Amino acid sequence: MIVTIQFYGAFQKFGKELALELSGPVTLAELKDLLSSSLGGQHRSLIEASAFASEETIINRASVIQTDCRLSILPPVCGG
Amino acid sequence: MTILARVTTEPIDLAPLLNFIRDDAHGAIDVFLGVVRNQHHGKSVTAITYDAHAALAEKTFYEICLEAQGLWPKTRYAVVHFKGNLHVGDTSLVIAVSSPHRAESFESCRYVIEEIKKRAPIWKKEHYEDGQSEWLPGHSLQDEALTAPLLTDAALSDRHV
Repeated sequence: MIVTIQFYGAFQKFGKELALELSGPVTLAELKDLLSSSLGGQHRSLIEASAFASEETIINRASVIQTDCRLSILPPVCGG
Repeated sequence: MTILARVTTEPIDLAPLLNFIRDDAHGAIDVFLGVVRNQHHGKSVTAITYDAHAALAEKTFYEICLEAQGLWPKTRYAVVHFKGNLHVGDTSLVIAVSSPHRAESFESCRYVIEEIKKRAPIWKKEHYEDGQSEWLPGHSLQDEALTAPLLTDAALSDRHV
């Protein structure tokens, strides 16, 4: 299973997106752990403060990812 | 249609937004402009780069305006946020509201900007006179993630990579 995570804001220093190959279903909390391992533990606090979204909605953090998909990770927002 | 919600990479033109919200029954228009200022926390700012999850930001603008219409009925809204690079003095955001009387326009415009600050997936990177730059901290969307719908395979079925 491949989960592609699109980057915005402070995550852009890692590029536009990152594809994670996973062996099975993962919770969003587990996905954050995997992302932290990929990007480096020093970014854990930013990852923890971020939310996941699909193209049209923020995703409940109790959700389980069970299929190939494209998500976005949204760091804390500051528009205006 | 009484709500216009957009993210744009073009300079924001105010005139069509005012035309959109105009209504012969409305005697008040309130306009808020977000503008790039030249300093922040004692640092000299030369420019700001705005990033946005455009589709979700537009949906969030629309939902916020719908909420505002629930609180201040008969109001009309045009909300446009810029995505890209802006210099000092440039306009990053326009919120235009019309209503039958002035109080609803003032109050609902304030509501919309405060909610956008907290909820819209938009980020800004300040560029400073000394050549440094940084993404600004902001409001976490974790609270929204607590109450958002659970993800289903069906919700992702048309977005497989």
